[in-house]
Amino acid sequence: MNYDMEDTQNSAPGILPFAQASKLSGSKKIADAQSTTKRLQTELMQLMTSSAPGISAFPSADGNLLSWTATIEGPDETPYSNLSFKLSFAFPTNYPYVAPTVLFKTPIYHPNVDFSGRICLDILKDKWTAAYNIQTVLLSLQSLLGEPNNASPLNGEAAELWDKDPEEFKRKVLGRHQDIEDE
Amino acid sequence: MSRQATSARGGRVFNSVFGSGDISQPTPVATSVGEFPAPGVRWGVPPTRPAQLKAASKSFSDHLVPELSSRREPDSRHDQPVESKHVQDQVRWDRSWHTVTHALALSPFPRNQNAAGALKPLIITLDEAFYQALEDVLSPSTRVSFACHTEDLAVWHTQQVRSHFLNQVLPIIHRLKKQTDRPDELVSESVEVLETAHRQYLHGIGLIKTQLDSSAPGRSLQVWARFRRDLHAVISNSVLGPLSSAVRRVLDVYVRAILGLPANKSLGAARIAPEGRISHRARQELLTLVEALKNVGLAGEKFQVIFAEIMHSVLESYVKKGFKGIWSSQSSGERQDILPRAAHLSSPSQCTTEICEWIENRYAQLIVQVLSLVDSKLIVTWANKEKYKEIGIGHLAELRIGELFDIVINWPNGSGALDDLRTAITTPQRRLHLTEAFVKTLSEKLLHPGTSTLQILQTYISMIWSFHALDHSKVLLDRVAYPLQLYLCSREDTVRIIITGLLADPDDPKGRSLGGDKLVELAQLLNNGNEQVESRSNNEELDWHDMDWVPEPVDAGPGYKRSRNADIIGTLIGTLGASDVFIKEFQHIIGDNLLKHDGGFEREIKVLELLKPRFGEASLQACEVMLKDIQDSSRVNSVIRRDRALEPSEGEINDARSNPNSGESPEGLRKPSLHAKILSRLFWPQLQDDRYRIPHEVASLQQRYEAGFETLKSARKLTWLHTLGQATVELELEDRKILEEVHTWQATVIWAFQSEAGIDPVVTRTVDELMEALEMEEPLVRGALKFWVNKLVLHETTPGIYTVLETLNQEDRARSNAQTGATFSAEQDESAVVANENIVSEKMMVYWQYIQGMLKNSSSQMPLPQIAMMLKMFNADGFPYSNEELQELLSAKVAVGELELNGGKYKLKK
Repeated sequence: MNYDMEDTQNSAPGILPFAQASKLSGSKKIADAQSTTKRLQTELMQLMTSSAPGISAFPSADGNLLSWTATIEGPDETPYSNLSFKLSFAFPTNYPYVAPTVLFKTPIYHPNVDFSGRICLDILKDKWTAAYNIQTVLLSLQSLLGEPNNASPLNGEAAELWDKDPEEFKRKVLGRHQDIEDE
Repeated sequence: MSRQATSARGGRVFNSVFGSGDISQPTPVATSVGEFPAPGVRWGVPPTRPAQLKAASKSFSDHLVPELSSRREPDSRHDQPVESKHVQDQVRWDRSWHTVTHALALSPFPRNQNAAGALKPLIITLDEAFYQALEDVLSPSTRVSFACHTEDLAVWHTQQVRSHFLNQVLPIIHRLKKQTDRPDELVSESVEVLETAHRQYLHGIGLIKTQLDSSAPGRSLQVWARFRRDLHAVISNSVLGPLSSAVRRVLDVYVRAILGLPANKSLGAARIAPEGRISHRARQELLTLVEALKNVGLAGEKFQVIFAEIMHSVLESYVKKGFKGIWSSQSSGERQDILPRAAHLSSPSQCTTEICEWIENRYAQLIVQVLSLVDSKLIVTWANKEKYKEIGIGHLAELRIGELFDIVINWPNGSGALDDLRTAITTPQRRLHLTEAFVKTLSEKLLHPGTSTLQILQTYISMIWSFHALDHSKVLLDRVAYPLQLYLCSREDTVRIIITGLLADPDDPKGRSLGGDKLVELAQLLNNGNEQVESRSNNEELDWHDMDWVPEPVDAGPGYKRSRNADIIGTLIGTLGASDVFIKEFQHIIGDNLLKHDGGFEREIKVLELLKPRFGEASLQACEVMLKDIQDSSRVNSVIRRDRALEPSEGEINDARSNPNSGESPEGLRKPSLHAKILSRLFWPQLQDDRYRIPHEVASLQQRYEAGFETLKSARKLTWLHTLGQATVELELEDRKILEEVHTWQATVIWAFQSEAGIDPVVTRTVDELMEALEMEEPLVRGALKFWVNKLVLHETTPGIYTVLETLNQEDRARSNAQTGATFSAEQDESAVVANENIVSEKMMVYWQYIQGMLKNSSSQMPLPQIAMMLKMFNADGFPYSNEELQELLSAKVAVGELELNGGKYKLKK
């Protein structure tokens, strides 16, 4: 850190300023972690008290608040209706300033999702701001199921089929979908 | 090791230090010189007759000459006359030594103590020869200058006395000790024995001294003093061991008598007897005893230690007994000169003055008398006396610290004791000790589940008062209050009690007479204590005209802030609980009050004003809006009622006035009447809003009112909260009239029992009917029914079926009278509980959401402990329910088919 160096220029050279600096930054990190925890708890509370239909999320069973599992019900009148998809959320320690990493755990056939579950969604990449939260991400993903962004597909075949052959698309979706049951 | 062996070893040790006992034999050297006793010559015979002595001496010289010459061969050849002079002197010295030692040899100690006088005639029998011999022995350098082998008679005598004392006198004392149980007897008899022995011993040395006085005046005193010193050392070392406990007890009795303390060592408080005949006599006796002890050499260091210990314990018991439980404050005689300097800082308390007087006049006096007797070199100085006083005050501090908890409880009756403490705790150590001791008693006596929060708070208030009286700086209070505050934070009802206390009516006889279920003290403080709040505002640090300024106490913590007044309310509010908790609770309580009562709410406004500077205007905005709502709605209410013709007409009022039986309010007698309080939804705490069907008369009134409101305040809408009202109900039964102030839901239920004009006089309803007819929740219906049963209006004929009790028989009447008072509070509580339960289940619903989310996402099946753990972990506020309560919820969910339970694990049903 640059300001550490500035500090040491004025004071006698020694190990103490470094130790202090590291201590300071350490406590700052702890404070960050605390605010992240607090934020995630608040979000959880929000989700629980005002739940939107078709989406739900909860921290993982091992008690780690930085890793969540979410469930999205496929919207009606889309190829995904009556299907439910599990997703994993991995939050960085400096959440919400950095976007969480979101993956589909349930295999899904979708133009913007590749076969390992990675998602192409602008708000999870460069458009992320701290104003987004889990609920908005889940709602975006839910609407993405009904309205894929075919301009930038991760799954080219799916993007083509979406417009050309909805029947075939639906068949592929059903063929790929399989409920995963956790242990 | 056997006892004998031990004593033999002890003897060896003694000898190695004080010299062997050989020398104490009467004629040690004289006999040893004659190494070759001639046959027929007797040795060691006491030289009673000089003729025999001469013969003996002749035989000495005859035999000694060859012996000596053979021994000292080198020079004896050349210096024959000197040699013979040597021999002559030596022989003469030896002879004199023999004479003297024999004369001075100690006779066996008389078993009969009165026989001591037998020693006296001995002086007369001593003849000139003895004195000559004595002179020879004492000054060998001048008299027998050539004797090369001489000894110090004083040393010999000392050894003699020592061995005599140890072998003969000491056993007597030991025997005495075994024989008698009474310490005073033992002491006096021992002293007598010792006096006799003393006389005997001093006789010999007296002879020596007299002789020395004439021959070598310079030495005599020295020898005398040395002998005395040695003798006293021997006596006090050997005798005071076995006698010490007896001496101690005797001294103790005397000292207590002199100083006016009770003789028995009971723990209770006792009065200090004033000086009088008894103490005077005891003083005489004690001084005589000390004198006697000193004469026999028992007043040495060991005695002084014993005396010091006794005086110490006497001082302690004087303070502890004399001042235990004496807390009242009376104005003392302003005798500041008697106090030690350390106590001058603050105004002296009565007890400290008394202690100092006692020490000055009696205690120190006794010490001076005894010590001056014991040793003229021991002088009790002024500084010593000051020290005694400080020790006395220290004991007082100790005593009061022990009593402090009771003193605090008894506030304000213990102000005298607090004065004592204030005078006494002058050092940081003592202050620390005080706080530590107090915290310990506090946690033992108060901070346990057995005491009610109210009690703890009351104690806290008296603590604030007491400690404020003790120490204006609040440092002590801060130290002791911390554990109390911590504990209070763990009590859920703390904040509620404080707020209800603040809002209580100080003149409420109910609260005061019973010791109260409310902290009425707070309300009284709030009403009297305006100036307290104001005086806080000025900056005391900058007040340079403050003549009472004192520096910060030495033991103040780094965050120390001065405050002059006790500021009870401030302390209670400031330290207990986070501000949001406090505000929330305050909101709830004033919300309740505002809804339940009518009137000006001056107290609520006052408390609100008090809280504002503490928590800031912003956080109390909601409360302010609530108050404003109520004030506004009374105005709006009257406007709407006028506009919508809801007021009772003139005729009705007159009608009501003419009826003598009616209550004070004329309205509502002929037809239902409606008043509304209009609340701003956003600013009020969560309110109970159970829906049910209200009586149609009231409903139509509500509609008219609503319309009136909407014309008055356009773009605003009224939503009725049926449950949160008060209703005045008048019931006309066959034999009585009942006028009750009840909740609206209770009124609604009883309304359902209204008999329709004479068709069926006795109305019967079941719970289910009522629930259906009123669209009301079961708990509410049952609550209301129970209320009316208690009021003897309804009667439960069979479970779940209620009828109206139109007439009361005699028994019921008696019950009714008895119950009216008793059930009042119970039924109030019940309604609160009902409300609480509903809110609890509402909270539980949130947790149910959590559980659903958990089972859906985290893990499809979970055992109960894991669910509880997750709920605790992921909730910012924690999970306030126990595992049992959680299980209840889960079982309910299993029962309605939302969950299934498989092998101890819960699972969402698909």
